[in-house]
Order: sequence, then C-alpha cells, then structure tokens
Amino acid sequence: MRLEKDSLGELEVPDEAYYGIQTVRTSNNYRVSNHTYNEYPEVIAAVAEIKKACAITNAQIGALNEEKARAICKACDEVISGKFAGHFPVNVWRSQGTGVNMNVNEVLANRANEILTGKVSYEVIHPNTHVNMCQSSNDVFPTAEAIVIFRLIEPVLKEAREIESTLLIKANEFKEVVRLGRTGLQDAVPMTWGQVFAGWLRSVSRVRKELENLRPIFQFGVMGGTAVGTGMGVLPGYPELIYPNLSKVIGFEMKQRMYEDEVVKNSGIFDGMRNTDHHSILMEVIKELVAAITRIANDLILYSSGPRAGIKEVVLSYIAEGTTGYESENTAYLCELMTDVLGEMVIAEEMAFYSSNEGQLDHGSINSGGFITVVNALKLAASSLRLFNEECLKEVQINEEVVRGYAELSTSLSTMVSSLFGYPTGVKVAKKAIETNRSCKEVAKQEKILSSEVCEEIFDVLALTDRDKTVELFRKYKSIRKID
Amino acid sequence: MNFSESINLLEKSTEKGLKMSFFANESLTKAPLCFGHEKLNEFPEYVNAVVKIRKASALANRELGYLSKEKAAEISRVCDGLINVSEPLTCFEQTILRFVGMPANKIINEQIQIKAEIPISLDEISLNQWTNDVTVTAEAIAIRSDLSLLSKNLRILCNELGRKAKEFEGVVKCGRLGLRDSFPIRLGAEFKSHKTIIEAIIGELQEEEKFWTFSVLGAGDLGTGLGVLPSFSSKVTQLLSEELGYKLSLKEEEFQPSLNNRYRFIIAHSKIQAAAVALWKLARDLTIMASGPRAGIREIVLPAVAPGSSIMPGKINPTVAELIMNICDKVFANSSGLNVGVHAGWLENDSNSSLPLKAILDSCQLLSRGAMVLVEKVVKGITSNSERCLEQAQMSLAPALFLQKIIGKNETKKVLEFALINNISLADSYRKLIGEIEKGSLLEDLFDVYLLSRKEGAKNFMNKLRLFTQ
Repeated sequence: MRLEKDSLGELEVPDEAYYGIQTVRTSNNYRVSNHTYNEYPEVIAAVAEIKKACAITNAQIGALNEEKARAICKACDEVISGKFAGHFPVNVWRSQGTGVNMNVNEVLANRANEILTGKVSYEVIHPNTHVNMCQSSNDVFPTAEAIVIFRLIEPVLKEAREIESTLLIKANEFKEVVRLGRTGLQDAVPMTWGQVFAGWLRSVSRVRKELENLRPIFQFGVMGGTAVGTGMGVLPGYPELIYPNLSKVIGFEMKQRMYEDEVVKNSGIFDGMRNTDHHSILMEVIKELVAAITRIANDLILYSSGPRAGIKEVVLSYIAEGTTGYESENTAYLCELMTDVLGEMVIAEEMAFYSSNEGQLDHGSINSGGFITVVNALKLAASSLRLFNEECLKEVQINEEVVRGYAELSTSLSTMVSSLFGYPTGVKVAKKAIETNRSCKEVAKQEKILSSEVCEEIFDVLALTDRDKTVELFRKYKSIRKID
Repeated sequence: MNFSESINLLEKSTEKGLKMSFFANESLTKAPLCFGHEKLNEFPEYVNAVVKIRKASALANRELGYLSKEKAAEISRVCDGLINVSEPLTCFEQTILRFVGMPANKIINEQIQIKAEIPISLDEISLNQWTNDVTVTAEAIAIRSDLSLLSKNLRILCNELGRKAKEFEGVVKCGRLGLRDSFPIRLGAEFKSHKTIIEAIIGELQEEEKFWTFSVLGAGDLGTGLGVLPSFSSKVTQLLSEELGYKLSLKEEEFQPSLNNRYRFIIAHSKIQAAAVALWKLARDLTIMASGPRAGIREIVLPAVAPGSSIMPGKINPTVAELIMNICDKVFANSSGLNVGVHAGWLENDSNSSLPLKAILDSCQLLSRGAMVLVEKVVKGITSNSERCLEQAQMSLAPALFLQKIIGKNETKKVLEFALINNISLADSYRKLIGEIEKGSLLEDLFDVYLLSRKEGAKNFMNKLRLFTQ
C-alpha cells in the first residue's frame, strides 16, 4: 500500500494500482452495486481518446511540454488497448463525471510518469494539471458518452439490416404460400406468408432508418466548455484545434454544435452540457426497433403453437431444452427472450428519461446510471437481434400443408359470395359450411349458388391474396353479381 | 473481452452452427458481454431459495419413503455446502442469457451430482419438483428476503434520521413553499417528517412481506399436481418452513392461480417504489439544504466524501445524495420494465420473463444498499448551520400576513417596503419605522421565530391573535 494525499486527506492506495487516491475515494463512496467501470472498457477507451486529443492539442498550442504530451499519448494508447483493464474500479453509479474522469486522469498520470521517470507517481505529470489540462469532467464525460453511444449504435443498425435481409429472403421464399389471415385470432381471409414477411420487413426497416437518421446527434461534443460551458480555464488555440484532433483520434467526425442565429457565443455548449434528452430519444427509437422485432417473435410463438393442440403453422428450429423438459416440446425460447429484451429497453428508455431530468441549474444529468443503462441496452439490443436472427428467424419453416388447409377451409371465404349476392347469402353459405364441416367452395357448388367452374376461380385462395386478381375476378363475373 | 470481440465470438459460434442453451457461455461459446453482464450469482436470494427447496424436497421424499436415506442425506449435505459459504461459489459465476429460473435449476442439479459422494440421478434430485412450482415458490422466497432486507435497512436510516431530528430540534430555520420563504420551522422537524414517511412505508413493506410467505410446491407444472406423489406437498412445505425459519402457507386450494401470480409483482414493486419516492425526496432536500457554500441556502453541511471537481479546486459536491436520486430513478424505470415483463404469457403461464423478479430484486438491492450508504456517508455526518438558519428565518417576510391583522394593512405595507428597501427583517423594520416592540406583546410573539416554529407556540399565538382581533 502507498499513502496518497488529496484535498480531503490521506488514504492508502494498493501498490500495484495505477489509479490514485481519488479513485479509491470514489470507489468507496457509491457501493450500491457490484458493477464498476472495469466492465465498460469502451467508456474508458473513449475517455482516454479524449485525453489523447487534449494532450496533442495542448502540445500544439505550446501549453504542454512535448515530451510530457508524448508520454500522456502513449499512456492513452495503452489504456485504449485495454492494457490497464482492472484499474477502473469506480462504481457505475454516480461515478460519472469527476469519478471516471479522475480515475482515467490518475491512471494516465501514473503511467506517463512511469514512462518518463520509471516511477509510478505524479512527480512530472499531474492528473489534474497536465492530463486534465483545459478540461473539466463536465465537458469530458458528455463527449465521451456521445462517442460511446455513436459507436454502439453501429452494431444495432447492422443486426437490424441483417434481420431485414432475412425477412426479405423469407418473403421471397414464401411468396406463393397461402395461409389464412386472422383478425382477433379468428379466421379471416387468405393471404400469403410472403405478405406477412414483407410487412415485418417494412416495419423493421422503417424504424431502422429512424435510428440511422438519429445517429449523427451523437457526433456533437461539448469539449472546450469546461465546468459550466463558458470555457474558463481553456488556453489560447485550444478551442480551434480540439475537435479536429479528437475526430482524428476517434476515427469519425466530432464537432461542436454551431448555430447561425447565435444569441450568445457557443450557445450549443450550454445546451449540450446540461441536457441528455437525446439519450431518451435514442432509446425510444431503439425500443421501437426491438418492439418491431418482438412483435415478430410474439407472433411466431402463436404461429408455432402446438405441436398437436395449436395452430402449428410455423416450425421453429430446436434450439434449447424446453423449460419443462417434456420430450416433445420445442420451446420458443428465443421468441420469449425478445419480450424480456424489450422490457429491458423500456427500462433503459425510462431511465434515460429520468436521468435527463435529474440535472439542476448549470449541470447536466448527475445520473450516470442512465448512461450505463443505455450502454447496456444498446449491447443487449445488438446481441439479442443477432441471436434471434441467426437462431430463430433464419430457421423459420412453414408448415405449407397446414396453412393451405386453413385457408381453404375458412368460412370467411363466404365474403366472396356476399360480394356477389349480398351479405345474407354469404351468411347462409358460411353457416352451412360450419354445420356440414365443408368448405365454402363445396357449399356454393352444392347449393348451386355458383357453377363449379366459377367456384374454382373465385375460391382460388392464392388469387384471393392479390387485390389486382380479385378485382379482375369481379370484373369478369360482373354479370352474375346480384347487387345494385 | 470487449463488446465487439464478444460480437465476433458470437458470429463465430453461429457460423459453426453451435446451438444455444440457457447459458451465454455454453451456447455462445464465450460471449458474456453480449448479454450485459448478468451472472447467476447476482441473484443469490433466488439461487439460495432453489437450493433450500432441493434440500427440503430431498428430506420430504425421504420421510415419505420416496428416496433412500443415504441419497437424501447426501443431497441435504451438498445443499448446505452451496448455501453456507464465505466466498461466492464459482459455479454461480455463469453468465446467464436473461432467464434466471432454468439456469439456477440446472447448475444446482449439476452441483449436487458433482459434489455428492454417491451417484444420484437428476430424477431423484428433482423428484416431485417441477419447473413452475419450484420457480414460483423460489421467487416468493427471494422477494420476501429482499423486502425484509429493505425494511431492515430503511429502519436503520429512520433511526439515524430520528437522531438528527433530535439533534436539530432547537435549530430554527425558514420554512419554504415552492422554494419561497415561508414561516419558521425547526430543522429537526424537517428530518422528523422524512423519518415518519419512511416509517409508514416500512409498514407497507412489512405487510407485503407477509404475502410472499407461500409455497406452491407440489402443484406440478399446471397446478393439478400431476407428477407429484401423495403427501409431498404438505411435507415439503413444513420442512422448507423449518429451513427458512418462518412459516410458509401452502396454497393448495389456489395452486393454479398462484402459479400465475404476476399481478402481485406490481403491488410489491409499487411499495418498493414508494420507498424510492421517499428517499429521492430526502436526497433532493439534503442537496438544496446544503447548497452553497457561499451562494446557496446552506442550512446544513453534508460531509465531504470526495473532491467534487477535476478543474475547480476545493469544490465538494453532494454526490451521495445525488447517488440516491440516481438509484431511485432506476427503481422508477424498473417499474416500467416490470410492466412489460408481466404483460406477456398465454393460458397456463404468465410471462416466462425473469424481468419481473429481476426488477424487484434490483430495486430492493439498490435501495437497501443505498440506504446504508446514505446513513454512513451522509446522514451521520450532517451538521447544521444554526446561525444561518436562524438569520434566514428572521429575514422571512411571510409574517407580514399576520402583521396586517395586528397593525393594519397600510402600516404593514410601509413596514414591508422599508424592510425590502433596507434588506432588514420585518422586526427591525418595525422598530425603526414605528417603535419598540413591547415585552409580552402579541408583536413580540409574532417576531419570535422560536415560538412560532413550535406547534404549541403557534397555537398560543393564534389564540392571542384571535382575542386581539375580536
């Protein structure tokens, strides 16, 4: 153990630790969960990338000695690569801002000193003076949040696109497979499985596009704002260089939000530092994306119900033991998982909402729980979408015999009769079909309502799934239509 | 392993066509981060409950002659070893794929088989126990345990608040409505009010705890008891009660509905949420009372737990109070997730989601631990700034409301304006503008913040005022 000192007093720091006293304090303070930033290397990396951009900038403007800047940059690269995994023990709760920022500052300072002097200390490079130069936790952390979220949206988009391509393949594969549509879980009129998949495809891609449109919000940073947005403590030349440098380090463009109709200078920063409503807007869209896919999952549970006493239109691949362990059971496990994931998205959205409202006066959200919940949710969304696509959606098979049988037997096909002869005749056919357990087609034939030739055509279930074709049928049989 | 690495692994595992199961690392090879970082040992209350059910079942099966003495003794011995541990067991380190029930059953069964010194089959371990009856009973045990921990820790917080209420009984401060100056009150009363509210919520929680002392063991999967041998139900419930140290009621008549009791999660969580409402308000009140050090109301000082800023030297922030607000937010958010979690399922089962259970356990754990952090890091060390409190109370212009009943509207208006212009108290303004305040007069009472901030004093004053105006 080594003894370290800060403005509040002395504390022991483990010898092998690259962090320092403030990290020890913070990690002792907020122990309401067992989760620490060690579990979030992507967040630590983003903070270190910012630190690197700042060190480069500070060296360029002559505020930081070049040798020191190089040492800090090297330390940053090491932290980014994960070399110091395990040195970020601050709790995920309420350690955002100063907690994480100081944790990273301390690790970088100790390591940079070690690079320069061979000793872990703050002798040459101080965490606050050198590593944190021109920065405040209040501008570093919101910017890091944006970087992390921007990156984590990518896998979600990718998995959503993958799902779309699966749905497209399935829509083509089952283009001609007729099934019975249902409304209120009651038999309705025929449609194709291709139509079902196409509807699913459009819902997913529509929401995915919303997400794509939203993503650039996370390319705005608040660097240069320091404590409250005014930029007090920032040195000459820094504001101009920090964003180009940061963009170079992180590999995508990061900028300050600018307005043509500025009321005061840099008004975007005063918004950006206080508000995290974009987190909850993001989660709203992510939630809707997961909801669109969960809708598919829930429908698949119903479609695959059985194997004997259900509607068994769909066969799901056998992926895991059934929850009850019955020999014959094939649990729709991944479908149920999606509901669970959706619940987690709802939690994240709500949490982001509450968090964004938890700021007061000139400070942004004091609630890093919101950010971490969003990070967890984005990861969960990406991985569950992938799992659902790979192991469930791609494997979906249609029980073609069963679905066609349902379509042909539906008493709702009497709709065609009522379109030609009026509703009462349609009802008559439907009732007779139910009573005698026959199809509407047979009843219409036997009751001599329609000739068998006409019957074959107007009860062709595949044709009935196509509006153009049904319209054509009515044109053809205009003469036998008895309604005026 | 970071997130993209785990995604890659997931990619590889699916390429190979590996099929999944309930554990992330069995199925997705090693991609734990993919599903957050949930491990079975994050739900020790639940895991312990299942272990106890296994043990009680083995003993019940032995007593009823369904299982040999040796095997029952062995199961019971292994189960004890799974619960009474000082270090967390590595077998529960498994990262789970969202669901808790199945992996817990599976790991525990495996452990019993591995650690037993004689061969015991899975059928023997889970004899007379079914996924549904075990899960529902174990959930009840876990929820009861967490509710009781929450009450206990909130009680500790209440006691500490009570001590502070006493300590600050003599400190008069300015009361505020909508953060606007009002009549004087006691700083102690502020703390007492929070204490009383939390006490009422503890009552609710304890009431709720009673509901979760039921067992549906022996119900089978559907509540019909199919697959369960005679007398098992009552025997195991009796033995499990002994194991747990409290009496479980056997809901034999309501097996079927009890297996679908998700509605009750909503009720339980709403009571936990009530605790979050109270803690959130307490935490926020502490931050505003401690605002400053120069430009705030600064009635109290919270102990410093960490330097508050990386750029501003000497700054101390009320971070623990903020922490409490944060975790309360999570409880509110959990409530929405819980709604989704219970909002599923068909026919013989409510939703299969573990989210309702997790939401309740998460909310309870956060608040229980949060309450302790609040006690240790904040409440114990709060000090009052009694002079500042008194000054603010005396400077409040609110008593002008009564002043006009004593000296009339016009005079009051003058006193009020003079006080505002010269930034002095109403009493000083009166003295300067009108004259000395007589000893024992109604006016003296009106300007006596100590008197008016006490219930008795306020009552006496109102009596005097009534006589005066008659």
